Amino acid sequence: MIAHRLSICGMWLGVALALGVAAHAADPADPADAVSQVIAVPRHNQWTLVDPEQRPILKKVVELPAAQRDQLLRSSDARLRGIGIFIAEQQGDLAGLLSLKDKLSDNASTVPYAVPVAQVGEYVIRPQTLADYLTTVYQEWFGVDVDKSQERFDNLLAPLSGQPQNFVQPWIVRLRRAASDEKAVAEIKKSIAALPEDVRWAVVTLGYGDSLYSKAEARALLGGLSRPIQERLRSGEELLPNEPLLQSTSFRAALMRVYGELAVAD
Amino acid sequence: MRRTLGLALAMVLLASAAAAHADGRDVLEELGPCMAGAGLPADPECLAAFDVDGDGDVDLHDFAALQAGVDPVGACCFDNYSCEILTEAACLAAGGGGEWLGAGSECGQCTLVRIRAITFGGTGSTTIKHDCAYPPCSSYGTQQWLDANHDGDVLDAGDHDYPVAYARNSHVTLSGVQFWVSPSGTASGVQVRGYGPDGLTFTGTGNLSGSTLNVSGTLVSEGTLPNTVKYYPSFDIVWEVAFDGVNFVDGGTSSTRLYVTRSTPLGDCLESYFHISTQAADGLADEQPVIDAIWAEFADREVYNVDGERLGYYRGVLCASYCTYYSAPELVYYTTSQCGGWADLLRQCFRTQGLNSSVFVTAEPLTSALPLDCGSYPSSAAGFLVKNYTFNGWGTSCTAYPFSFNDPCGYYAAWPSPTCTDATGLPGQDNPNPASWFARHFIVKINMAYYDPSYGAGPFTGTQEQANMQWELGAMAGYFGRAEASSSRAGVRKDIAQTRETYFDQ
Repeated sequence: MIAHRLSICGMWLGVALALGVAAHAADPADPADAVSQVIAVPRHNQWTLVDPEQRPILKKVVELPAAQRDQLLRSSDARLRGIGIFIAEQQGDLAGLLSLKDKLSDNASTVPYAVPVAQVGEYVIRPQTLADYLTTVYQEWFGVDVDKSQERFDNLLAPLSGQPQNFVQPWIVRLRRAASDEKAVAEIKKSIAALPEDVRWAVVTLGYGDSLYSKAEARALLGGLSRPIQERLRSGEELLPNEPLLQSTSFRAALMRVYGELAVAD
Repeated sequence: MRRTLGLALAMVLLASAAAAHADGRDVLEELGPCMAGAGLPADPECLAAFDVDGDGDVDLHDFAALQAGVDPVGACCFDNYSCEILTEAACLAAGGGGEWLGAGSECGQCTLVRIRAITFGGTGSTTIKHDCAYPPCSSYGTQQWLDANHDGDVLDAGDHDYPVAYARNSHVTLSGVQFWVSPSGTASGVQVRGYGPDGLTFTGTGNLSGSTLNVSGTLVSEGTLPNTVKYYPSFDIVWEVAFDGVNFVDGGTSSTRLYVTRSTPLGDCLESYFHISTQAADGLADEQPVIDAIWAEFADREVYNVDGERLGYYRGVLCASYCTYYSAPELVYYTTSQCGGWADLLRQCFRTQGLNSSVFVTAEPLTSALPLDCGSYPSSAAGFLVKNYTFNGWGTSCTAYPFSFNDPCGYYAAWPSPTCTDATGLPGQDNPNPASWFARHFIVKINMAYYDPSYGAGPFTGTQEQANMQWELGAMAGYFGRAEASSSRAGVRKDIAQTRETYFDQ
């Protein structure tokens, strides 16, 4: 525990110096000042792994405007670049996230992250390379493993980068993160209902599998798909061949199995 | 008359042959009296002893055949690494520095050739890394086979045998192929060929300089590796070399651990990940069967690293804080870890086979389904107890968390006689009674199914909530929180079957 506290102090000091704010007291109400107090970011969007004292600071940091966030991403300080990635990830800025692919090759600099530990009341921090951290972020948002490789990014994610709203997984992430906010969930589901049909069926089916839609909701939405789309699905036609998740044959099979369970009789 | 002439001739030949070949004298002396000539009856004992050509008599033909046997042939090795089977006299007469190796010797004995070094690579290959606790781990070298002292094995100081990996259906590409040759010399255009498993063959040419034969360029296998995952504990290549382009001699055998993966591996590529996942999925190619086979390796709760050490879950500790290993690299290196390490290891095994959609899942108490505790600042359950626990009457005044409980880490103040106590189980990996008092637990999700590798439990399927419920039914004993406002002692409430009191974050 002593070592943990020491490491916290060391990191705090490092970040504070980097921002040039050591000379005055930080104002936690100011997102820019809150940045100086961040000692670790959650790796799997798992906030409970972060020291409770850190959580309000991280929440404040996430409010940072895009311009300041982008300034962090361009910082010469690796920790600040890592915090910039965390903010972009928490803000769900898909275009912003997809523009960060060059950081997949940053294996030299590190960001402190909260290690997944099981014990009660303890928090462990370790360094993680920016490349690893961004790989985890992409996995969270797009459902596939780019493995710190820009080539894999280009193969898996680039084909849909121009239309990020047509990725399936981000809608699931948004629903999951908004779960406690009924109004927000309703807004997201409204947006999903307006998606192109070939995307909508996959989002709804996956959402049902993740218990984000009830069976009745999912059936109603799938039943509302046009007949041609339903027929194409039933015939096993591969809709969304560019969707990175659906490039996995076993994932596609699992999704189609759930779709089959939900399929509404004509 | 004919018999008399035959005998006379035989005696002359006998005399000359015996003079030249003292060691053949006895045989030829015995043969003389047996020579009856063609068409004449022969003594049965003579026939048995001397009818070499089997034509029913003992005559000059038999004599000649026996005489040749007395003047034996053997390998005649020339300076240009060619060889012929000759008599000693013929060998000496042939020139070219011919050295006769003795009666019955073979050309293979002329030159001693041993495979000395090989580098595996090419399209489809992946560099494997040593297991280490904290990546980046060091890669095995690129010269994967090295018999430095060319004694035919890689067991000596200076030798090594590193593992190699290829994606299925790849060609195997070799470079830096080098042989040790004795006697030393100079030769060019030396033909080299190697026979690997499953019909893979390698051919090339090399140049000998001194005692080193370097094969030029790369050798790309004729034929490909199987179109499935496959583990070769010993990928043996039997090598042959022909200095004259015709007569191939033994070049020794190289043996390498070779892993064939389903597709290009992802992740840190530690050898234990290859070892576990490739052995488990041997012979398979499709994604789901590979996933199922890897899972089966974890489900039996008997997982070993590449060194054959069994991997455990909280080995030797009941307090989670005492196990400070949280990741797959730490698990395969130190052979024990928390649940995070086990979830990571299962994911890394999937990644090693190129499966890219597994996710790390956190399970925690579902605060909205659990009552507030009785602390001075009431909050929901702080964590859960994994089976098994015994409950012997209420011990607290907190009705929401009525069973008194002493945690194994001493985090909460102790009760003198707790009513909720740890019992053996639920068994985890190589541990019949692992730590079981947690704030949270980590598992893996792939293809909408959930796997708990720490306990070998799953897959849990259906919707996320259904899978969560199945998992909870099998694992949860109860939930804990503060039992008193006046102290930090803990109370426990039992898990309610069929009511979901935990949640998965993915």
